[in-house]
Amino acid sequence: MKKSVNNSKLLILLAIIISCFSEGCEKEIINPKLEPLVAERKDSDGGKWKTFLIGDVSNWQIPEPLEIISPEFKKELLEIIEIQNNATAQRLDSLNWWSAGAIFRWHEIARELAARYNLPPKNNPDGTYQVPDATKPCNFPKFPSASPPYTARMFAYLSVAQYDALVVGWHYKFKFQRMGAYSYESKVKILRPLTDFPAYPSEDAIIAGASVEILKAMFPCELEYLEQKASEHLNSVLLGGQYIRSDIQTGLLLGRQVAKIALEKSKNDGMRNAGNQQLVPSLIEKAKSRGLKVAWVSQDNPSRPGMLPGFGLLETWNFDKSRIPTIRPPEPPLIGSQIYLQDLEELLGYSKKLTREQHRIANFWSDGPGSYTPPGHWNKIAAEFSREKKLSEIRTARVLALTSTAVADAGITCWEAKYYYMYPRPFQMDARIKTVVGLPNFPSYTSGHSTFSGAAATVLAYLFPEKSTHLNDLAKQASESRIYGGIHFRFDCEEGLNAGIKVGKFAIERGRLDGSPQ
Amino acid sequence: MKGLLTIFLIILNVMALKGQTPVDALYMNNKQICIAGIYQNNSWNQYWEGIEKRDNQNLGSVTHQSALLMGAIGLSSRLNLMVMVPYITSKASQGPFAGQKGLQDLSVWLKYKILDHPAKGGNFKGFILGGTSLPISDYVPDYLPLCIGLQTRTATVRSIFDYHLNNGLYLTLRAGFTNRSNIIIDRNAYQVNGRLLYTQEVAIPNVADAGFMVGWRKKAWVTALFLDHFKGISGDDIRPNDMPFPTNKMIGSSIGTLLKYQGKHWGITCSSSYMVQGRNIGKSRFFQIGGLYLFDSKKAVK
Repeated sequence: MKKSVNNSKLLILLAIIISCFSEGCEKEIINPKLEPLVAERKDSDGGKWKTFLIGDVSNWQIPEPLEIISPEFKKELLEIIEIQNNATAQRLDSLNWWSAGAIFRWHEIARELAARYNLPPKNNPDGTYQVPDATKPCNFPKFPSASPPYTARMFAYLSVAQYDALVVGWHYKFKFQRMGAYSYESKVKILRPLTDFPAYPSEDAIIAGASVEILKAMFPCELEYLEQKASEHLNSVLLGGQYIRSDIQTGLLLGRQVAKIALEKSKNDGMRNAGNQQLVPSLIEKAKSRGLKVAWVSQDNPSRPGMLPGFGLLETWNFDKSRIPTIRPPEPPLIGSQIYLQDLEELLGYSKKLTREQHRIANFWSDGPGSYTPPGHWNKIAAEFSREKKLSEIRTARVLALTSTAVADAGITCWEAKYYYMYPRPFQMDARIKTVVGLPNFPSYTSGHSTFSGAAATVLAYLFPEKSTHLNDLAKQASESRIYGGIHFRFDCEEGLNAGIKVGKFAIERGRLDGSPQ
Repeated sequence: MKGLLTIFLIILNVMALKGQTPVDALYMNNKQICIAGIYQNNSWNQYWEGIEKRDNQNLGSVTHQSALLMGAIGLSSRLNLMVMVPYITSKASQGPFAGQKGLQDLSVWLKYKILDHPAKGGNFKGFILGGTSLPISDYVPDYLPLCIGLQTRTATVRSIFDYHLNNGLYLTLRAGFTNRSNIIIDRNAYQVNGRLLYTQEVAIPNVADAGFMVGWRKKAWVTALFLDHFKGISGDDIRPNDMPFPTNKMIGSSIGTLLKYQGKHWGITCSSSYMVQGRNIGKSRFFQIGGLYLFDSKKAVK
């Protein structure tokens, strides 16, 4: 009797252990597979849309496609047949991955690089900080430090280069009307779902060419990785049955050349001097002369110079930078004023009690070190909306170009305000105001996240009117998240959102005039 | 009587974030019940960022304090059931980061004596232990190093072997494995091993543990010197100057001492330990002190 009781207890124990293990079995988490993008519209008028940087696209020279009857054309067709016959499972998987959308996937690559490079600088034992060196990008600390402004600028150049190159590409696609390879040779299989659409020059190759050149310039320690990604992209789409090799070669060259024009602009856009700390003392003096009682001081330990005090002087995209003073938020509340004390009180309340939902919102929008940054967050939203609506590559590129330039302009406007007003963070004024997200090392008024969100949500509501209520809610929540996070006063966020909306409207103006039907 | 050592040795783990499980060879007899109330303090001002030891002046000293309530019951002469609930608070001595507080995870273990026979000069015992822990409040897991837990559900299996000489000296060895479930965080994208994953679900590394204790125990007294080692068997490293994240591969080795006295009903226990080597973890200094109350000590165990 005793033995069977012991045995039954042992069995109970074993049963518990087994059930616990089977419940908690480790699963590897991977990103889900995505359906290939089959665009609903061909946007055949895309070649007429206005570009950002390059002039009249018909002035752009690209070679004629191979003659259908030529031996060279037949040779390239045979090459595709052979590639398809030798297709490995890995290559087909890769084709499937890139078929989710070329713009979509290159922006994912850009976001991942931003996340990997988004790290605060480490201090030396003597209290100074190590600064990434663009001339030695792979030395520690690696260049760049992908802060929100840097990342916003990166996405703008990436999107503009992609879009402008695709406008040229679309112009020539519909001029030459060289259709997919499969339509000239029955032995060429269609291994990738698509609509019947001119293939020369290849939009995949245009996008790869533009993306790889911009991203190599923005992440100069990733040259090999990026070229390898481009090869992977183009080798996989060659399998699809749509393109022949010369479609890819022409497209690739076109993309690279347009990117180089964008990069020429980037050399002189003011980024080189964005880290100039010499600007700060006179900015503080001027703010004080306008009534600022307490200037922002770094709360980092050891103290660190404010991040990118000169970013507000960069060239803007959708309006002339001389208009910045008209967009700039008004003077913030005086320290000690009623609004100031009210908002301080609100923050103290959250430090005493933050609900789980408020903490969740702060976390959801934290976008801090190790993440793709607030510009990256909105970039993801824009890319997902485009994919959801099955927009063509050129239309997706337009969405991202309008959104990214609005977000970059928002960054410039916001940083201009931050260093114009030099307003202290809540924690500097009252150390009882604790934060649940990292406290950024730059002045408080206005909130970057609020400005980025106001701009992005405004443009996206124009591009996706059915989503405008949702977007409005997202922007409000993103803005409020900084208050729950303990890192901003409510007035930082409200005025940031307002400025962002104004910035977004300039991008809408560009969109209305670019010749694309909405 | 000495089964109470079981309870406070549960707390041998120096990281409050790990599920705490019994590690000793002490045992309660049939129908004995023991309750314990324990205070723990775990503090560090240096940590390992990957394998590089450093400090962080934006945190200063990070301290986790716990108040634990534990119960242990002898279900039979071979089987013990143990339950534990901690309330944990955290804080940083410098910088703006807010501390956290709340009820953490409920732990339940079953400990089964598989061997118990005389050996040369003493007695040899073997135990197998199975346990599980479940979060019991909605605390935030993605807020290292100040969060009070990881929201992971764990399942542990451990074996314990003990050789106890008649003169009181003893040696206890143990080895175990803990499976940790995936968790859901608030963000919908995060970085692990240099890759961005677009999901709220995060895989937490499983943990292997081992350790030994040597000391002297006889009648009401127990002393021990111990070494404790645990190792996350997968995971990434904390990125340079970034905050830790639940996917990190945490490894730690600590050495410590403990002392316990158990009378007919009341008892007291205290212990301290230091983490001497680690990875992606705080270089903890840990101590605990607790009161014990034993019901029905008539059938005390040796």
